[in-house]
Amino acid sequence: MNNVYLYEGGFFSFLSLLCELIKTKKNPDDIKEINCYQKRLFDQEIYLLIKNERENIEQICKRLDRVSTYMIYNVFLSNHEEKEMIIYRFFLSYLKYGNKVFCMRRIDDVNNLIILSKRVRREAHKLKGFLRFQKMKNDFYYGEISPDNNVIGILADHFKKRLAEDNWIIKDTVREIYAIYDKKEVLYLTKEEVISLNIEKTEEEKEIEDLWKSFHKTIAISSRENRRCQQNFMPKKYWKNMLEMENEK
Amino acid sequence: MTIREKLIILSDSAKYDASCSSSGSNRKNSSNTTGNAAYCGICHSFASDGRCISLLKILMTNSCIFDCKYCINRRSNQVKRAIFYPEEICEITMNFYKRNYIEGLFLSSGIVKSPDYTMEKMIETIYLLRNKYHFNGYIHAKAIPGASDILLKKLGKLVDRISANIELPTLNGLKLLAPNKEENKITNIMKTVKVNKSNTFTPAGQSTQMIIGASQETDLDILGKSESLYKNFSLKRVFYSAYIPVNKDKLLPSLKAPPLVRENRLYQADWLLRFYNYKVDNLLSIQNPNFNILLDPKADWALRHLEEYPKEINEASYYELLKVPGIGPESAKKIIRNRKYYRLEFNDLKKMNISVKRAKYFILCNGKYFSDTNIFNRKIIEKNLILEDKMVNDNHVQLSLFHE
Repeated sequence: MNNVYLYEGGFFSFLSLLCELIKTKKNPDDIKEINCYQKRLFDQEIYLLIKNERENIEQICKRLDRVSTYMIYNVFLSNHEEKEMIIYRFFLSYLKYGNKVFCMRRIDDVNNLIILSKRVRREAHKLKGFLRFQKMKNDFYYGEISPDNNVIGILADHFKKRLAEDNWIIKDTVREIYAIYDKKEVLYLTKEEVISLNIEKTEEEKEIEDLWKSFHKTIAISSRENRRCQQNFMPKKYWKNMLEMENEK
Repeated sequence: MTIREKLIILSDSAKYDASCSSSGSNRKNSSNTTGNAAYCGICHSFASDGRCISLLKILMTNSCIFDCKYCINRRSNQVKRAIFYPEEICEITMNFYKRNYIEGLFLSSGIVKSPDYTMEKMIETIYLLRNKYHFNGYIHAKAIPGASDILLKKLGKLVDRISANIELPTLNGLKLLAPNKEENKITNIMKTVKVNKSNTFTPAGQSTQMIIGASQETDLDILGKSESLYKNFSLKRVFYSAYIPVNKDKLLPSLKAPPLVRENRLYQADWLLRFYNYKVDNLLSIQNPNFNILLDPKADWALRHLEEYPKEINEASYYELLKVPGIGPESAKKIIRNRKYYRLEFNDLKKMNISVKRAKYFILCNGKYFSDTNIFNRKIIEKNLILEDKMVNDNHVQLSLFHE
């Protein structure tokens, strides 16, 4: 049988389970979030009752330094099927070698963790540039993203610092989650929790969008045209949320 | 004239400036302002020429009292002229920034009335943007050559980066093609910026640009100029811009296509100066003043020093690793960090995402060469490197040159 340990969802619930597994010396074959878990043949589901979740989280955070916490968090946001087990096995190596483990990339789980963490940060970085807001009649700026990884939190942190004096909403259309900012704090809501969202553009919006599209077109030097280079830097999968690429194929 | 028409005219005239960088500034958001700067810079889009769009790159006006031969906005050209009012620039910048189209503003201008007058108008615009519109994002401004030092110091306090384009690397070139531009006016700007640079005065430093292929200069002239600019004025970047014929003039060459490959080789060499510890003397000489179009300068250098290779990556120093084609600072650091704990094999490099496509010809991994050592032969390596060169492939450089 495969021992599959389940956690409720969210980073802290995962960390708490991770701590429990190590403390009780369990040998998981897999770790999955309850909502995303689909039972396979020979799976044995195990749901651990954790008495003191907070204590577990504190214990694990004490163990980790800044770099490893940062990387584990990034990998937790990735869309990799085995992200939990990669983190779990990385953590075992980390306990054994300490932070010099980052220089031992021959260990597969260390290597995977570093590569996945970079991949998530890279996508978040690209979207910090590619996300487009539209101004809505209710005075909110509204933008949609469709990322591979769950980067909405990284983006919300970025825009909270940058557009602190405006109201804005970012929607992840893949995961159907919303980050809503009201000039004070960011609130994360699921589709079910968002009761009504009035996304109607202001009259002025089309004019500004036209200005941007004109600028985007004009700034290119035609004798240097290089569509392949454009696509390398700005992969097509992001185009559907980018106003200036709407009519491109 | 509508705003849209103005924007088209004034971005069209600004597009030949290569710089669109938004990096190097740590400007933090403060209360009641909009925006901040990201130290690493952020690209917001890419144009169909593959260049990054990070800043709203526009001229305040494309009217100009100068008549530089290569410039589309020169006085003698019959082109549509427009001028933006300060408020108009502020409105567009804010509207674009809040929608996350851009990282900030790159404001340049043709010269109207006088350098001082032009610069005053630019300062008025940027002052308004910072103080009335409370814009706290990235601003790059072009300094106007010949404007007073007092104005330059005012400008420096408002913006993240200042640039002044040197355009042509030799005095002869400048005299011939930009008769109204004087080099000492440009270097005066650079001096002032260098002396005053601080966290509140052009925190992202200064940059410049040279046109490639409009005059007779060699790569040695150009790169030698860059080296001295980096040294004397602590420039952050020198940009190279392949000459694109926009004007007909008997003094200008007639080119079928802009010299993009040459421009790219100069960028590659520029990188070697800034991050790889190379000197211009290592790369070019009076006997050999131009780069090999078919190979990147680092590969070319390594081929000319083949007696130093193959290098054992488990023993090579950081700087020796940097000189291996295909290995950059990131990869060299990874190698050094990891080899403390075990001897590295080829597989370890691949695993760490270090590209061995070009490096493999020049290295030993734990005593082993990647293939039969017969391959360690100048001709064979050169041929393979050329076949794998990205610029050669992308631009269909005629390989017949090589096969002959």
